[in-house]
Amino acid sequence: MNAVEGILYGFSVALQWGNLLACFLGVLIGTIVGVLPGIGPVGAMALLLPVTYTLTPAGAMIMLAGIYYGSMYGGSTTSILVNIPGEVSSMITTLDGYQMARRGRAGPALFVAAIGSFAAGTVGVLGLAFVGPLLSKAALSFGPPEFFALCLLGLMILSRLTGSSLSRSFVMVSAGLALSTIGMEPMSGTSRFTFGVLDLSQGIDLVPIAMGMFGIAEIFTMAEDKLGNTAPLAVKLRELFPTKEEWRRSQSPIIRGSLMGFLFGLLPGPTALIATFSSYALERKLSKYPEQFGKGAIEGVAGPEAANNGAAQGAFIPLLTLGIPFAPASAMLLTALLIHGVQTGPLMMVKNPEVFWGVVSSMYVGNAMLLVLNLPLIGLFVSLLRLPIYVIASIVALLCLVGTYAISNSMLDLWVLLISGVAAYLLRKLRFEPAILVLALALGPILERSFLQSLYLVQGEWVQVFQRPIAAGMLLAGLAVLAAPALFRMGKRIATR
Amino acid sequence: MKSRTAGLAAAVLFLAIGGSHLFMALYLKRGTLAEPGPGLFPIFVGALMTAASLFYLFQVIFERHPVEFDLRANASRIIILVAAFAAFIALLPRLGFVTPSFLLQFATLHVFGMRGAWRLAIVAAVTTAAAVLLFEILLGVQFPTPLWRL
Repeated sequence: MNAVEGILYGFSVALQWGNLLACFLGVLIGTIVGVLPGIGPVGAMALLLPVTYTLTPAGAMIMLAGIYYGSMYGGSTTSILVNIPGEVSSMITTLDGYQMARRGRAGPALFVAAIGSFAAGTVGVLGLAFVGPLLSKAALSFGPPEFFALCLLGLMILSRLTGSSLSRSFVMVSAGLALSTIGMEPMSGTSRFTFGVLDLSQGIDLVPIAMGMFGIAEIFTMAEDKLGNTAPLAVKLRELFPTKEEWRRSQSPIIRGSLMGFLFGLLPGPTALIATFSSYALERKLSKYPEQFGKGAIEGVAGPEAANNGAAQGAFIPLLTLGIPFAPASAMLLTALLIHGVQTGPLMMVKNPEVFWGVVSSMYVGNAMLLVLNLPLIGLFVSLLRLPIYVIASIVALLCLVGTYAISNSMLDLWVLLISGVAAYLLRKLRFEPAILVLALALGPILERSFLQSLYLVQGEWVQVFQRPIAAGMLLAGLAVLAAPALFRMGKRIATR
Repeated sequence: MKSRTAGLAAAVLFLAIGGSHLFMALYLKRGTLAEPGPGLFPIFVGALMTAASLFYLFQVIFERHPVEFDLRANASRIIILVAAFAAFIALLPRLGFVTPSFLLQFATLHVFGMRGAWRLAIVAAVTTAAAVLLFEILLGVQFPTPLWRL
């Protein structure tokens, strides 16, 4: 099946009534989650995981993916209207979006953000359809050493991209990997680090950890910050459309942001956030009006908003083609795929084409739905911000607890949830990035399996791993990523002498 | 707690966890590189964590600008929330969903600034009823049966 046939087949899956409804629910919940502070897309996906048991694998993935990219749309609404980013990746939009809103241009800011996100969605779908199969085909030649090297490369890039120091990143990586070793060993089935607790023999589940670190910890932070309600600025439908000049100034940033976001999305880590900051810096540099940035430049909304949606879509590529999650949200999707018995990795496109192509095409459908939800119905979502913070917090708290419990009716999961929440709250205060731990926990089993299979394959002669060009290239790239800042510093010092 | 002290405490804790992980992994069958046992990967992980924690410990000791860390700010709110969550988890298998949910809602609403015992009780009761409707009736979540109904 070529890309065009694949997209058409995907539309035939995505446009089935059940899947359309799943897509609508996903993007609706995603938008709400993006607008409201607290739970975030990962928490919402974890919450709805048990609900997806009744859906087909394609329907489940379509709904969960909708939550993820839908939250990117919703996040920009609060950034523009309240000066509070609903999602961390919408942070940069507060700079110019809110300033535009204060000058009475909230409507055009929201319009450009929505169109930018839609354009990025289109780029994402095309990228997934055309790059995905190529990458999948290439990945078919990957053996365990290549997967091992890829996971290591991912962890190394991750430790460099998150902004916390290298030592902190490595502590988080190793803590996540250590958690992943609890339970049965993948090759022999030997029980490890279970301390006689039967529930631990299945290992520590990703959901309670992710939910605790992203949901419960957020509730603690909200309680500490005493977040009050901020009255959102009102927007009328007729005020949504930008002037010709605003539209002209937005077009190139949207294109650049979409492409940049998509490429960043292929990398591990909080790439949506990094893509938005990079896009903002680029637009400021290229703009004829750099002095307007920070005071309500429309390019400062258009570029980053396209970039964060582009990154959200790009993040699906490593997951759908290689079966490797490079972002916490992808890790949740991987969990869903495994629960539904879908074979992940390069063969997914062959064995479960309805899931792969259905998800890809549903993104286009979902992005179109989001345009409708986020432009004419913007007032409805803004009214959610008028809910008192104590109502939001108490609902989020209950959702986290019940959502975690409902997955496997396990009390142990609830304790893991609480401990993870407290730990993440304290870790953030010490400038650790809990997202690294979550990703390392998700990558741990893949890393260990490929590590052990590689050793069996090369009969213990690990040097042979370096004789495989792809694996060696990835390992060297990982080392280069780790050493790059030190080398740059050294180069600068030599240059100044 | 002073910022450096907090960093040191975290480093020591991670060092202890990494060290224990390594120590326990050494008791597992290691096998050989050609036929690795279940302990081999955890040994690498434990060693990595120990090394990273040591590196972090030195970084904290020599850090010029330690991180701001003030647990006293609104600590009581966090403690109440943690206690409320713990109570929910501990009571759920004994009392079923309704009572722990009501108590959790009551505590959370109070921590986030809602005042008035009757108002709190009414809102907590309404949200609990909504939760029962959503989770137990609509979504079919199987909560533990209260002990008195067994």
